[in-house]
Amino acid sequence: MNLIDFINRNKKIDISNKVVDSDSAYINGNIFDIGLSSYPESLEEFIELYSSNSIKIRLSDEDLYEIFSYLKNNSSFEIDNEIPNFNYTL
Amino acid sequence: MYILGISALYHDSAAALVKDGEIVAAVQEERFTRVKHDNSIPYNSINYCLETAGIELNEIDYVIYYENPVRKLDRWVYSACVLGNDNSFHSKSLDKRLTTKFGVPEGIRSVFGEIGKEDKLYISNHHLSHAASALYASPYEEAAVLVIDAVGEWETNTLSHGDSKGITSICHMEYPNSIGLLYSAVTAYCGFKVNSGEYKLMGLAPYGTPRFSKLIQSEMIEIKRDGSYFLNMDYFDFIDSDKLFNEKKWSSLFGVGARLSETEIEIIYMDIAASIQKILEEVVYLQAEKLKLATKSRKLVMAGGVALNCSSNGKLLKSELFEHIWIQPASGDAGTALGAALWMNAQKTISTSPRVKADIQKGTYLGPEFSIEDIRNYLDVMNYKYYVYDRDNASKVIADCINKGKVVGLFQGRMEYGPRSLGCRSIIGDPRTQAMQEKINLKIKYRESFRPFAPAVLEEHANDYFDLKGVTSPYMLLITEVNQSRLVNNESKLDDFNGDMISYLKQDRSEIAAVTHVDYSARVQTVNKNTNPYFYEIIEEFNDLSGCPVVVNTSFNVRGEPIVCTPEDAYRCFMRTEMDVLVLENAILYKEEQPEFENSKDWMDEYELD
Repeated sequence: MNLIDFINRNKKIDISNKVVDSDSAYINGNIFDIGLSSYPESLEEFIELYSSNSIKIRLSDEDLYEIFSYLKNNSSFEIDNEIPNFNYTL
Repeated sequence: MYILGISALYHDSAAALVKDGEIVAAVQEERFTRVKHDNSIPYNSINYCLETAGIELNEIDYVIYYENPVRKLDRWVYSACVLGNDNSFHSKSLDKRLTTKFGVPEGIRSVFGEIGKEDKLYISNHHLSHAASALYASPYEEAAVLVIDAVGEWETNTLSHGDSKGITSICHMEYPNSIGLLYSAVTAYCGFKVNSGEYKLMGLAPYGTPRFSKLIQSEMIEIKRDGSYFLNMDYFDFIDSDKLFNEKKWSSLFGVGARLSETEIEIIYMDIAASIQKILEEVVYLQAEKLKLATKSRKLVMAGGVALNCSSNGKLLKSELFEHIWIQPASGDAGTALGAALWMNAQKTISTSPRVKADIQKGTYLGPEFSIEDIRNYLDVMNYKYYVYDRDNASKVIADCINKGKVVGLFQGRMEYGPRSLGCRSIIGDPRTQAMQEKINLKIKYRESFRPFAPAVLEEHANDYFDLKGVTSPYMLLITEVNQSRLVNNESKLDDFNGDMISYLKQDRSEIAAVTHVDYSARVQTVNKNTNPYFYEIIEEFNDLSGCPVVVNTSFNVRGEPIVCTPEDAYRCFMRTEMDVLVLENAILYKEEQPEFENSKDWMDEYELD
């Protein structure tokens, strides 16, 4: 599956194009708690950081797997390690 | 403990070195490479930081990158999957971004060799870096912290509180709701370049009337009473393309298409500029008000690109919502290198020692400097004619030149960190006539400008000339009115505005006409005797000669060129333009005595217009 297919498959929520009826556009919470992280050394660490640093759960494990598979196959960034199994909790 | 902060790979790359809480050095990469807004890995800046400290790479304890590429990736993927409509754009865009952004550690490690593998390489968060650059560089132990820019990883506005225990975010707003992106979209619509033209849009606003502000609020942005807002994405294209606005929708709304760059500016664009400026000021005020309520703090610190909007800052000052306001002078992304380093320092020292409470930004004179010996060697090798004075006499000679209407290139001390020249890499002149504004614009900057220059005023005299409410403005980040007592013509005595901005600006409005805008405002820099003694002495001598404690201060460069960094850059700019006098520390050069300067015919094309 390439990225375009991936995007097509995931284009399921439309929150654009509308002014939302709400009293506030602020999101509460301390985002700075996650302010400092060591840089990932491997793809596993990268994925771990990705998941731990996501404020909201936006994508499923399967979707993440697709993304990182795509990265591995299509980007010039060299990834030495195999894609790990997604057996952690987002 | 040495901590190196780095910002790179977006725009305005920079490096900053902090030692035990003190800023050793900070500089933007563009100053070395001569590429405006250079976004490459800042090799030169890093080398400069190390040389200034006199250390080797392996003596760095921590390296910290200014933002989290993983969370940025999250935004891009989410935009592609959920928000976007154009798959081909996202596919291409993501490919490009992944190969550059994903490679951040590789780029950093190419500089540091093995350092990244020794648990020394850390990443911060974009808005946290901005917030830290404001709080920890300020003289305050405790403050409300407001960060507003286009977008970080996800955040576009962050409201926080900072004290000795750290920085705690209270609430934030996320992409695509961004007042910074809205302001940039209007900048582009009015024919100015995004990331540098926002200043021009701010300078254009006083010519217009905000007749579109209600329309913009009913159609494009819904502002809530707490300062948060929603953008109507029907009007914006930035999720799916490189364009910020939907031209069809905007043309229909305003009744005019996007202005082409470098074409005449019609009155309607002035009105659009005035309208968006009014909206920006309202949002900033409301967010500051929410922060005040949430933190009860008497002090506010600010950073992020929107904090460079001096007009909005001036309105906030006037509101007296906070008793003290401090704005990071490198509020754009370059400043995040410093913020990331200061944040790391706070994490490592917070429980063991109180942080330094002085203004550790040191006037933001944190860049390269050159000794008089280095300068003389350069001038001798090049066979350029110059005179060296002791500093007292040099100040007198320079002041005399200014008093005689000469334009002086002033190169002294450490270069400024941030976008503004503050007396170390500045072009200065006599502010008392409009002719000086025209001369500097046409003969040095090679442009006609509808914006006046900024005044640099002796701190002790600032309130005699400007309505500063008793505060100082050392970083040229506050716009306020020229005092009534200094005005020479009120509006009723001036010719009516007929759309010709240059003619309208040329009318004398005050004793310091070259630095007074059409709305009688000025973008003030207050000069402190201890922070920049040489610059202070020059203005003081000029005051003794003229009775005016103010000089024109503009950046030492031609249009589109990064501010000069070295004596060679300064000499080249001096000779390419019709500047009269060049000051390199206490060596003084006169244009008419210099050998013929060989210049390529197309040097004006060397720099892309900003």
